[in-house]
Amino acid sequence: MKFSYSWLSDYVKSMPEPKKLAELFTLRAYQVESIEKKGSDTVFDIELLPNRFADLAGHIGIAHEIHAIYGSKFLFPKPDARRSKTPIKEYVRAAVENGTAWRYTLSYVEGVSVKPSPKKIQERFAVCGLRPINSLVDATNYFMLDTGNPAHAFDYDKIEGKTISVRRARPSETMETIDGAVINLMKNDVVIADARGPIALAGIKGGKRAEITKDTKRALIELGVFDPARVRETARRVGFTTDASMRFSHLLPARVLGSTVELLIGYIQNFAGGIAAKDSVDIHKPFPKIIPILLDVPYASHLLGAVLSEKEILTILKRMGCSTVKGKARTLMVAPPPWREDLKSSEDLIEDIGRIYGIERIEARPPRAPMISSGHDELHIFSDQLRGYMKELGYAEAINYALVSEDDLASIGEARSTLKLANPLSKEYAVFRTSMFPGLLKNIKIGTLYEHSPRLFEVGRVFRPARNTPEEHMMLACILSGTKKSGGLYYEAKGTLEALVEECGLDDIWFREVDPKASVWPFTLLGTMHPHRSAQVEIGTKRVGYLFEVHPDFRAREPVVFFELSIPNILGDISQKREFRAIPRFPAMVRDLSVLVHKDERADSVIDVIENSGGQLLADVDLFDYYEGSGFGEDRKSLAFHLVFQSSERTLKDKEVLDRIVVIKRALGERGWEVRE
Amino acid sequence: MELLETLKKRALETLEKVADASGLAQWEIEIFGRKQGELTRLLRSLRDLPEAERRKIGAGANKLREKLEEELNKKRAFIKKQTTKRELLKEKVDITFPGTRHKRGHLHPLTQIRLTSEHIFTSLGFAIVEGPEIETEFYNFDALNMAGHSARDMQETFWLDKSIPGKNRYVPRTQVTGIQVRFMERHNPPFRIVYSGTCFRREATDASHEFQFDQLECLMVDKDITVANLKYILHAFFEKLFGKGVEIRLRPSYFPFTEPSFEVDITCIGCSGRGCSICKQSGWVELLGAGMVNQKVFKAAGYVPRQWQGFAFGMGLDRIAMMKYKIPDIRLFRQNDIRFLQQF
Repeated sequence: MKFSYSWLSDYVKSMPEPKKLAELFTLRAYQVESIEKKGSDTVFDIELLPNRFADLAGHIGIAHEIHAIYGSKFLFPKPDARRSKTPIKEYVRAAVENGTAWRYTLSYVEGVSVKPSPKKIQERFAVCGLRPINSLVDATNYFMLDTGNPAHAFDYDKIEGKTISVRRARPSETMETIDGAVINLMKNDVVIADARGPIALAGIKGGKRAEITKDTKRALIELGVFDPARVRETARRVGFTTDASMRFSHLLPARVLGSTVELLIGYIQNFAGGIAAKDSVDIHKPFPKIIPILLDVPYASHLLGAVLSEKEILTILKRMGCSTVKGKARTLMVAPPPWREDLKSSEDLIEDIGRIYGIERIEARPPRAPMISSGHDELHIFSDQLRGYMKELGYAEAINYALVSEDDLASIGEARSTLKLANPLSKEYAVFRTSMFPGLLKNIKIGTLYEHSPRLFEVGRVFRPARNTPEEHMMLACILSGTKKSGGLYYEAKGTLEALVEECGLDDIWFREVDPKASVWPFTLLGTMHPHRSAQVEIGTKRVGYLFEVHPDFRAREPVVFFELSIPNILGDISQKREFRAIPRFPAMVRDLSVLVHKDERADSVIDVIENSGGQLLADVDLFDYYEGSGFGEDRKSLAFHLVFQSSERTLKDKEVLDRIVVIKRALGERGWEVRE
Repeated sequence: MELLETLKKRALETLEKVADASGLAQWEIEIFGRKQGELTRLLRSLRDLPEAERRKIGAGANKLREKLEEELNKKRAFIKKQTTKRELLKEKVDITFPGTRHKRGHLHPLTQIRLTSEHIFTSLGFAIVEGPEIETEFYNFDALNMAGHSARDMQETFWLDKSIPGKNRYVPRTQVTGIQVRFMERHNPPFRIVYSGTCFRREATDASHEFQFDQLECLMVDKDITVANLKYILHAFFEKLFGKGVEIRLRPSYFPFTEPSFEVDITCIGCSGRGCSICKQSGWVELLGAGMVNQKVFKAAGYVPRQWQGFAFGMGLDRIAMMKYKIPDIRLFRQNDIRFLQQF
C-alpha cells in the first residue's frame, strides 16, 4: 500500500529522511517494499499484514506507528466540522440488517459545490496511485487514505424515500455500477438501498443512480464497517478489487469509527464547502469494554531472550497508545488503544514490545537443552537409504507431481477408486496417483530423446481412499529403457532389484508368476505388463512389488522395464539384519557344467535339480552363461553353471568332487536334459 | 701379485662396458665361470704355489673376488633399474585421454538440499519426524490458530472431494506445520524436531510459483526457549548451508501459529549483500518464516498454556535449492528432464 512522505510529515514531527525511515520501518514495523521519489514527495510502498490492516491502512495509522518506533511527537488531525441546527432525522434514517455491517454511519451535507480538487490534493492522490474525480468524491477518498476507512458519497436528491437500508440483496435484484456495469446480485451480497432498490454494493462499488455529479448540491456521506467475509466473497465473484474492497476485506476498527465522522465532514467541507446536519446517524451494537491485559514483566524478557527493564517496557507501551496500571508483583495491567483490537494476549503485547525495542538488538544465543533424542522416523531414514542405493546403482532420481489426470490412470488400466480434488486447477492434475508408473513412464519417454539408455527412480507416496480416511503408501519405483536383446533389460532391472535387496541385508527374494487375482493395494498395473516378462516380487512370503517389462502398447520406441516396491513391506523384513559368516579357510573347487534344456525350461528348475543332488559340499550354483541358437536345435537352449564345492573343515580332493559331479549329471539326465562339460 | 692386478684391471674395464643383462651374464661366466672363469682359473693355479706364497697371494685373490662380486652386484642392480625404466617408458599412457565412463547415479537437487539441511539439524540434535501429505482440516488449519483464515479458501487451497465418508474434511497439506501438532499430541517437551515434505497450494504456476513444492520446518520446545535462541539456530543453519559470512535479519511479520512472528532474510548469495537484481538491490533475500510457537497451538496440542516456550521456522526447499544451485525456474524440479537431473 502506498503512502506519501509529506502526508506522514503532517502528523509526525522531525521524521528521519525517507531512506532511513524506510529501513527503520522495515526492521521495527513492516516491510517497505520500495521507496520512490515523486516530485517533491517520496512514495513508500509498505506491505501491510492481515493483523494490522485495521489500524495501518491509512496515513494516520502509519504516522502513529512511526511515532511508536521512532519516539518523535505525534499530532492527531483536528476535525472542524460545521453543523447546522437541523437534526439528521429530518433528512434521512437508516436501517441495518443483522450481520451485514458492524457499524454504519450516515451524515448529511448541503450546499456543496462539486468541482476539481485543489492542486495539493491532486498531487497527493498521484503519489498514492489514486485518480482525482471531483471535490466531493476526492474528499471521501482523501479521508480513506488518511484513516484507512473507505467512505462513500451519494447524491441526496437522487435517493428515493427517506430510509437508507443496509441489507442482503433480494432474488433477481440487479444494480448498475458507476462504471455502467450491470451486476446480478445474489442473496449473500450486501447492498445499500433506498426505497427503489440498491444504490451501492456495500464496501465495493457505488451505483450509477445516486452517483455524485457536478450538479450535486446535497449529499449523504456513508462511513461504515461491513462484514469482511461477505465483501471478500462478493468482490471476488463480481471481479472487482477496489481500494475500498481491499480494505473492507479485513476487519476495520469499528470501535473508533464514530470519532472520525467529524474528520470526514471536515474534509468534505474543506474540499466542497457546505454545511452538515446537526448530527449523524450511527448504528452499531454496543462495543464490549476494553479488557486490560495482564502482562508479566519478566515474561517479556524470558520470551524474547533479552533483558528489558520495566521502564523500557512502559515507555514502549505508552508510545503504542496503551494505558498501563501497575498490578500485583511484577505485572502490569495494560489497556490497548481502541484502534488496536488485535492486541488480546500478553504475547500480542510482547511481540510489539520486542519489535519496537529492536529485534536486531536481541543477541543470538545457543539454546541449552537436555540431550534427549526423540528418535528419527524409521521409514524416512530407510527411504533415504534406498535413494542412496539407487544412486550408487547408477539411477537418477526423479520427483513427479503427486497429482495426475484421470486419463493418465485410465490409460494404464487403473480402474480402482482414487482420491479426487474438489477444486483442481486443471484436469491434468486432478487426482492423486495410485502408482508412480504414469509419471515415470512420461519421464522416460522424454528421456530417451536425449539419453541412450536412461535410468530413473522415484521414492514417493501413492494414494487411495481407504474405509474412512485417505491412505498413503511409500513406494520405490524404478524405470529403465534401452535396446537389449532377449529380455536383457528385464534381467538388468532384476539385477538392480537384487542388488538393492542385498544392500538391505536381505537374501530371500523370490520372483513368482504374477497372480492377477491377488492384485491388492498398493500393487497395480496388471494391464500394462508384458505377459511373459513380468514377475511378482516377494521377500520371504511377503509380496513387496512387481517387476515387468512394459507391454509394447504402452511403451516408448524402445523396451521399457519398470518395478515398484512397497517400502514399508521391505522395511518390515529388515529386522532379520545381517550376521557375520566365517570366511572359508579352505579353498573352493569350481567345476563348470552346461545343460541343454527345452527353451521354456526355467533356470530355477535346473538349479533346483543341481542343488538337490549336489550334497553338502556343493556350496553354490551360479548361472554364468546362456545361449539359444541353431547349434542344438530350434527349441533348445544351453545354460552354463559354475558349481562351487567347498568344505569348512578341509581341502577337497579331486575325486570327491568328481564323484559328486557324476551324481549331479545322473540327476540331470533323469530329467531328459543333456549335460556337456 | 701382478697377475692379480692385471686381472682386476681387465675385469673392471670389461664390466664397465657391459650394457645389459645378457652382457652381464657373459661377464660373470668369463670371470667367475666354474671351469673357464679367469678368477676361477687363477685361484685354481694357486694350488701349485709354495705354501708361503700361496697364502700371500691367496689373501689378495680373495680380496679381489670380494671386490669383483661387489662390483658385479652393483652393476646388476644398475642394469635392473635401467631395464625397468625402459619397460615403464613403453607403458606410457596419454594422460589427456578421456577416462573410462562410469554410469553415475544422481540424487534430485531437492533431495540433496533436504539431506544437507537434515544433516545440519541432526548435528544440532534435532530428530527427523514425518506426517501425512493429505491432512485433516484440523491439523492443517484449526489446530494452528487458522480457524476462519482466508488461506483455507477454495481459491488458495486444494480440498479433497466428499467421497470419503465421515465428518473430517481433507486437504492436501498446504504446509508441513500440522506435523507439529501431531507430534506434540504424542510427546512431551523438551524436544527438537525437523520435518519436511511435499505441500500443495492452489496457485497458478510460473517461474517462481508451483502448486506442489517441498517444505522443511523445525520446532524446538522447552522451558526457556527464546527469540535469542531462534536467532542463533537460524544463523548456525545458514552459515553451514551457504558458508561463513552469511548474515541473517529478522523482520516483524504475522503468522497465525507463531507469536512473535518474523520474516527471515539472509544476505543475498548472488551479490554477497552488495545489491543485485536477485535481491532487488536490497542486499537481502527473504527465505523463511519463523517465530515463537503461539500458545494457542500448544493448547490445541493438549499442553498447559505458558508452561512451555518454543520456536518454529519453516522454509521452502525449492527456493533454497534455486538459490544454492542458481536454478532460474521452479518448474524444472518436477519436469525430470534427464539433462537437468544429471547435473546434480
